[in-house]
Amino acid sequence: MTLRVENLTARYGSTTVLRDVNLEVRAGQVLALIGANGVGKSTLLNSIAGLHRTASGAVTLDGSSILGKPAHRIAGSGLALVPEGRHLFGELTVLENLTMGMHGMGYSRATTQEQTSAVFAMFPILAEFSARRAGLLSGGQQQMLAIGRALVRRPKVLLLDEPSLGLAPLLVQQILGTVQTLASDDVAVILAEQNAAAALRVADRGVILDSGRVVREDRAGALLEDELVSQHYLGGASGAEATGALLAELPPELRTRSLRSGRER
Amino acid sequence: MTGLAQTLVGGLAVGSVYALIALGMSLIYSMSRVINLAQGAFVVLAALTAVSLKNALGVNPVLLLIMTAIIFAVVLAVVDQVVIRPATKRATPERMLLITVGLLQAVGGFLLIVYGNLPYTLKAFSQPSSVTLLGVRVATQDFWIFGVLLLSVLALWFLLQRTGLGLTMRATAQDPRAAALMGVNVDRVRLMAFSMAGAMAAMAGAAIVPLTFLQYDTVVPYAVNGFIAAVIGGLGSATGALAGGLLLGVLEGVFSRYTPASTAEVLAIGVLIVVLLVRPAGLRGKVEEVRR
Amino acid sequence: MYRPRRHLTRKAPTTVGALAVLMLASACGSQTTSGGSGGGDSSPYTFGVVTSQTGGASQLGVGELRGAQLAADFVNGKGGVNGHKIQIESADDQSQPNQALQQTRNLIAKKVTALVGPSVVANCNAIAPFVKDNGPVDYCLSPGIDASGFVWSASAKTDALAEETMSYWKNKGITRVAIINTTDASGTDGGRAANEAAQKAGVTVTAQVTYEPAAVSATAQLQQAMASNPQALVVWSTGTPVGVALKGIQQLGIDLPVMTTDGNLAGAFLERIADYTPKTLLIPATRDFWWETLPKTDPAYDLEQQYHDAYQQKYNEAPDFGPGVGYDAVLVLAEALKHAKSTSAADIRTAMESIDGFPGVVGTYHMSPDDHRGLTVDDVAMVQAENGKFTYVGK
Repeated sequence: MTLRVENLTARYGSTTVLRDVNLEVRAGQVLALIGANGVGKSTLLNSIAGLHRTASGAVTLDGSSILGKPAHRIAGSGLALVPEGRHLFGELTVLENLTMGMHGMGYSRATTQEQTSAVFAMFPILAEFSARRAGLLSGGQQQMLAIGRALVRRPKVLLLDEPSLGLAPLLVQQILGTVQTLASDDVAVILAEQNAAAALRVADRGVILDSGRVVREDRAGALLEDELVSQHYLGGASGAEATGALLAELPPELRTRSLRSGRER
Repeated sequence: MTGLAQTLVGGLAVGSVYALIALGMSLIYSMSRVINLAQGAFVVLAALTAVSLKNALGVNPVLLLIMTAIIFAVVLAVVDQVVIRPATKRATPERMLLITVGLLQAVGGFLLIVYGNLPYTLKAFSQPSSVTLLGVRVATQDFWIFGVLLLSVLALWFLLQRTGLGLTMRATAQDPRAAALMGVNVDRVRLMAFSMAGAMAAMAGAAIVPLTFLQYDTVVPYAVNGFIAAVIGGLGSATGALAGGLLLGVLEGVFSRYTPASTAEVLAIGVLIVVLLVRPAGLRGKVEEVRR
Repeated sequence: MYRPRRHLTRKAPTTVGALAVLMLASACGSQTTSGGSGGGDSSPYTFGVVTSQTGGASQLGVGELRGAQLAADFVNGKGGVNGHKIQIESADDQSQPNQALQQTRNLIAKKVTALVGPSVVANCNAIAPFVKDNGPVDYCLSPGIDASGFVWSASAKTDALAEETMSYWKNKGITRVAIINTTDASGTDGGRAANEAAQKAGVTVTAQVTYEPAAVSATAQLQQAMASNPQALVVWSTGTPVGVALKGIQQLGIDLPVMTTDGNLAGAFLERIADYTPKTLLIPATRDFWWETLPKTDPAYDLEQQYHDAYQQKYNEAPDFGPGVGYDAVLVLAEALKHAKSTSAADIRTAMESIDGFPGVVGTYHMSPDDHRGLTVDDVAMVQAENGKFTYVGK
């Protein structure tokens, strides 16, 4: 399945947080979405998933438009978002978190069981704690549950919003390993990460977002090797300098606006 | 002593009605974060509807309860679709409160126009209308009210704890956005919550009306007492709503037995304030929810 | 709710404070009803009649306006007042005090000769300060206010009703009564009056308990009252709360004579409580409810006959509580105008205060500068509610 975003513009109130964003991710691909905190990564993912409803432009899944549809309909068409902050149902058990999205949605009992077991196979620790309340899990376990919950319905497109946030390095690696596994299962993945280097290492392509705008798009390997990117997004320089450096390559009419919103930030 | 027992039974009967209102409010609040102050008004509307049905069709009490429950499941679904859902898309929670107050007024106005300003009642569902148990004289209608409450609580418990729909509802109550991401049609879940609240209000109304007289302006005391019960219990908690309603009914009864009515009222409110001071989120509520 | 005259404003529970405010904020829009037209011709006397044609007190107000109109027709049929016809200019206060004041202002602006109404005490109190000192003369149709200045109050005083009840029971050998009254203003006032009247008559009050007018049930209070072993019960309230108390009396299997107030003297209401009416339900009533027991030679008999026949004929039902006070208000004002030196408010007031022994349908009026009501305990007798009708049982 191919997810294509064209000229997506979104706002909060009167503030435009995304401007003319274009990107595409195909089955089996991982697209890393990179940028500092607050550049609009979450808004982009939420707009695609139907949680943020002010967007204009076009979002299509295999050519059919999903923009403007309610979140549950988009979820039904094979797209899943693991939201930032996980948003687990803390009062429900691990198993209930996994199955709640399958009741009354046309899944047979056998299918529910099978797909739940598949998630448990991917994250054995969840099987061990399946009767425990989700709110009592550790951070890493919660992140696995959040991903597992999104995967249990076998989505064709998976959006991950900051999955590594607050996790120990070993866990980050495990999560990113999962992402690679998914891609090899023909899932299209968008991975939004502040931890850009780690994300690019598992990604096929990368998109750099700044002030609501795509400032760079390229193969992941090329971005990793690019000195400018590496200096400003992979831990070299401060955010403001990075923005300035990248914008130097942009046409001048775009430059001023970006700088302004950069200052506002 | 028998006098006190009698007072307790009477208080529990009235408290059962408060509990049913509070349960409905809690259910709606859980699914939509809307505090439906009009919930008590539907008890009175249902009561007068039951009077009309009884007079027109002469149906037996069980059928009467079922019919009013179905009618008000539909009525509240329509209210959700026509009033609440469009309003939540635009209004802030504070304005939603005003909208439900307007709804309360509208129900009262509708009752005044359709039923006039005379009080309505029904004969007790069962004869004799009162029996003496262990020296305590109890209205048999009380048992119908307890029955309706018991039935509602059991049905609600079964639904929430033992069915897939209940799981969906519990998940939606905790995080509607996350539920939507999991494919849950949150609007539909809220619609069902309204329907269930409507059915409970309807049965409460049909069961209480033989005990008392109701007319258009009794919507306010029911709305207020149901709201107080829900707040004492902790909005969003079903067990809290149950406890809050019964507690409020018993307190009202006991206080009015031993003190003048106005003092009784002040005392009942005093208890409410103490509860909220000690437990700001109510008996069973969660503090985080209150802060949210 | 059925809210006849004694029942003022049902007190919303204090718990509701904030809620009540919200309620008021969203209360109904305005609606103005006024009948008749002022008319440029100065020859008719125009009475501005402010009653509750809509809202909670309309049960009362509709009958009052009918009574007032009937009296105007009656007076006009006999040639009017000194050659002037009486014209009724009606206004609806929607059972709300602020509307009562608004409508009164409008009527005064139209230079009405006198005012009749409003229907309930809260609304009368709302307009009293406005007319009390300078007129025009206002004949408030609620018995609940302390009438003075340019304000009159209709029907018998609460105390007179209570005294009649207690002396009736004393004569029947009942010496121990329990009083149960609602906590609103009229219930509280009634409870006080019943207590004082009992002392005066030498009857012991074994218990006095109260309940909220909005209460779902009054059984707890009734139990408390019954614990004091009374021989009779006073239920002082009007409309729905009385129904709630009577239901409790039935549920508890209480078999004592019960007295309630004349605000409940309405066929429609008695029909509602028919299944719960105690064996003996007594109500102290003014003369329009027991006039048939008068000797035919009584000066009031023909007037009563005429009034009841006319009402029955026009509205196809027996008049209940409201029409009588509306009728008398117009009759008494017409009588005052007949003797007044001019139509100035001061002259009408003086003439009103001079009325002495004038028969109306509610009673025979003996006014004075200190008595802007004119009726006493003599105008009250006990009637019993049975099968939706009222039967005279004695004085």
